[in-house]
Amino acid sequence: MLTQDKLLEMYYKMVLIRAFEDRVHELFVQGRIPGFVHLYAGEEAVAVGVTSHLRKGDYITSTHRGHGHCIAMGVDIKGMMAELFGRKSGTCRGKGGSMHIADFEVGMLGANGIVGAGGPLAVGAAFAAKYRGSGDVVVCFAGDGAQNQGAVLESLNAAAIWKLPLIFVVEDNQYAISLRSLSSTKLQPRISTARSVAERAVAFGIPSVTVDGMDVLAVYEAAKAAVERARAGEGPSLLDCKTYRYYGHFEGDPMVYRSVEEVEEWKKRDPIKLFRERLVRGGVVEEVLDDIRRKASLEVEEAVRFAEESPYPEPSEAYTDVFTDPYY
Amino acid sequence: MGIRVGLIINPDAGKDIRRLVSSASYVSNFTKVELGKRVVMGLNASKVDEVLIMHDNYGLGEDVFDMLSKHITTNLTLVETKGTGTVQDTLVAARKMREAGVKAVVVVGGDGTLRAVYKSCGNEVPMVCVAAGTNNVTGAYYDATLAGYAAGLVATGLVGGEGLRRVKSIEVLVNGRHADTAVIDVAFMRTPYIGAKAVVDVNDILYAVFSKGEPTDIGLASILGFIKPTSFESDFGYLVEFGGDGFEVKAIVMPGEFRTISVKGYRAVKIYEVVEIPAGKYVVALDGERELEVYEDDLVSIRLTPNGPLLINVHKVLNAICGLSLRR
Amino acid sequence: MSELREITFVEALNEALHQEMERDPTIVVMGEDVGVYGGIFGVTKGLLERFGPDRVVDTPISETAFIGAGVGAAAAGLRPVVELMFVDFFGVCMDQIYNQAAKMRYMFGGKIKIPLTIRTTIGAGLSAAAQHSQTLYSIFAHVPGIKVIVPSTPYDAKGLLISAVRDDNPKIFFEHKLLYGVRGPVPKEPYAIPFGVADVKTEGSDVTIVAVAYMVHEALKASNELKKEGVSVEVIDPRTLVPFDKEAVFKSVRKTGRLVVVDEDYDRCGFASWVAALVADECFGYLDAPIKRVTTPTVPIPFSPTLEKEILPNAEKIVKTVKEVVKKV
Repeated sequence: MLTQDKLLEMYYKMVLIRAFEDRVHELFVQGRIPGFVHLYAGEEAVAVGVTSHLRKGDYITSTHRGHGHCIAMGVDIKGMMAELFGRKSGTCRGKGGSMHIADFEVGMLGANGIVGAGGPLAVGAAFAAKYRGSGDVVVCFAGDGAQNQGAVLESLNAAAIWKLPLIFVVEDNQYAISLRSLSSTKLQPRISTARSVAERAVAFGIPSVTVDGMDVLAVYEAAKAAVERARAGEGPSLLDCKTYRYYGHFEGDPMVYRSVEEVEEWKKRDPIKLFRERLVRGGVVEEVLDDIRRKASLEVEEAVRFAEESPYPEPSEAYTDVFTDPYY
Repeated sequence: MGIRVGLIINPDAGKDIRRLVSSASYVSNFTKVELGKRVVMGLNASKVDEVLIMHDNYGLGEDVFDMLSKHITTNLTLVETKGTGTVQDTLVAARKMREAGVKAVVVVGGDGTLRAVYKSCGNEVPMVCVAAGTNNVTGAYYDATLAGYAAGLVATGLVGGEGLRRVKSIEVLVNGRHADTAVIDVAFMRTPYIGAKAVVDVNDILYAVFSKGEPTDIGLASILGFIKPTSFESDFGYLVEFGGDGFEVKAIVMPGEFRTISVKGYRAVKIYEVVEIPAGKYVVALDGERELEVYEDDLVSIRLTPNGPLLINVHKVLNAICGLSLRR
Repeated sequence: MSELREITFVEALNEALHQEMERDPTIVVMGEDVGVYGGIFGVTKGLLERFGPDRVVDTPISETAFIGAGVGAAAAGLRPVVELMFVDFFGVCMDQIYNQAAKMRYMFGGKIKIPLTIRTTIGAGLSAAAQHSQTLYSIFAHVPGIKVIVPSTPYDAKGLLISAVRDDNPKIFFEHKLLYGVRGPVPKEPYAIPFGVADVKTEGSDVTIVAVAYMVHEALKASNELKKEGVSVEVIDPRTLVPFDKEAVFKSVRKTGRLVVVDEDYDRCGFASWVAALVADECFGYLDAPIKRVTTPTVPIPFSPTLEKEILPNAEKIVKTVKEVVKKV
């Protein structure tokens, strides 16, 4: 049952993700963050709706667009921000960066720079969960673009034949970089074949559902059913969540493939706005929600300060952690 | 401008959460495209001049268009929508079809899809639903070819009123204003949120109003079906109050799912009768989809009307044409 | 007192797996045909019967999925031993090895471990042609984060496999197909051979030969031939390429002043070249002759026995090369 506290926690996580990503966007534009960053803004309902069902012992695998998954799983945002800044105090001590944040302690098996590569890892983690008989589950987040990777298709098959406690969550944010997953007009044909993602799962013998990925409660309810199946040993499920990313594929993407109008159209169904309206209708006072939002902003500012005040790693750190034993 | 008929294929029909919590079939896009093609072949055989096909963002209508437009005499035209991937697309397409003066609409979807088309197209345009949803109380379990053919025969005027039947509808009024309309049933639930929309936990229903319900129906209508079978033709509906220590009824509320439900009582509702629902916080499900939330201070009532959709009776239409064929 | 019996390389590996799985319930074995069939070369024979299908998992022909599953299961706390039937199949699963398993610990700041063992087969000589005969350890030694283990005897096979299973890093364990039937003394009880410790197979003073896997046996054959002609050869088997026992090689070269590296992998940018470079850097002043390599020329492995014999290193070619080096004194 969804308590008021749980609802507010979900809201907090969604606004924290948004505040984090908006701030990272600014920092990147200002040249304060090096490397590549891929922002999750717009897709918050998916990460939060799904991970709300997870407990200690469960795992997720993530993508290059992994900040939202990290925050939803409870990775400390100070460490994350410091990681983006390449500092020693980063989650991965400055060795991974935006695309490789992992925190196994909270069940986050890693963002991933290789599209679709999380699938086999999730299969393995789910195999381990099943082997232990712990009732733990694994969630594999992957985008629409990843659904054309052999790694993902092999993973669907392996999960099905081994009846693994694995939930495949497709974040169909409409674009594989610039290639459309769905066609909004005849002039903009779909090029990626995400139209058939959900049915592909069915062909592997995995029940799948299409979910409104802008509605956190819709995602929550569908994920609840999928997680319950997995915990009960009934095998994998797939959730095909229709969502949208507000920023470009990466920061600096000129976004020639989509119109401002299209972005605005999607923003009308902004997941945080929809959820907030619903909470207010349900009797939550606006001030409470404003306070949560303020708290999130302050935490992000604190994270930025922490990151900027943190030292860079020593050059000698380049040679550690290749193996569990010293470098050779 | 010739005789026009609309075709709406709902890409989201038969894909909701009930795939995870019941034995409902996944109705694939490929299946829907085949159904759509058969509808068009039926319309072509009945010498309709033009078929207006909804353009959806999965490109199902587009596939039908591409595969058939060069091979048949009937003209095919795609009706553009914003491609939001939500019910908005169906609402927009149905409105455009009505404005274009279609003489019939064929819907490939379930009860939810038919309701959306009816809301936008009105009750003057004859419509027929090819069963491709989870619950198909309004749907015709005839082959799509026959549904298309029958719709064409009605549209061209070859078969008139004898092949049509007007069904009832249920209006939901909130604080005296029309809030929404259902065709088959309206359920008032204590489920805390709209979430994944489809009604999965029937034990959450406190009150329901039915315009129709027969033992051969699947879905909420099955409940009334096993209490007091009621057809679309009868000029009354039923209000059922759940819970308490009245009696129990076993119904098939989702494909493969028998549920035993406690019923406190039920009574007939006459045409145009306004029934007040006891004040409370409810999620309101219309034709099996949670769509509306009402609160303790809302004044909520329902009204049964005789002005629901004008459905095409495939069986009667095709029987009517048999004699005509012989005379030719 | 250790009971030494003569068993084959396959039996030694099989025994190691049995004993380690008995000891540690987190060890699982997966791969194509490892269960009912017992492994295409028989290495996993009897494991399914002993440990059951939860721990000995026949996988679909789907290397990306099951190698990746090994990585994910290792990340989640198991100790998987995954069989890649032929190293030649690495192409269909390289991302999971090269970009995932190898780099996770480093990318994630050293906070995690991936105790994964991938067993695979290498080696030509069976007319298995270009896609079932390669010896590709150099490719895996090239990337950071993978330990590379290349045993040459039944004794080493068992001891190194036990070490591999107990080690907390990703490893690839290369088994040469021509070694499977080789017999040798192996203690019955479990024992671990540390990585990075070379084995001096025979001591000598004129020339050092570094060889791994099946080539150790060819080098020893060559050494016997050369002995008859008065050339004293020291044969060193490093046993693991990563970590690599440089000091053992340097020490030997400082003594002999000559080095021949024998390597069945392709010549270009390979293991032999790397060893030659290390020695050139560290022992230049001790060298009395150019460093020579006996390797497989960089061509696909041909099918026809005559062609295959043409390109593979063997004792005869080693003898010839050593004579060239020794002549230049």
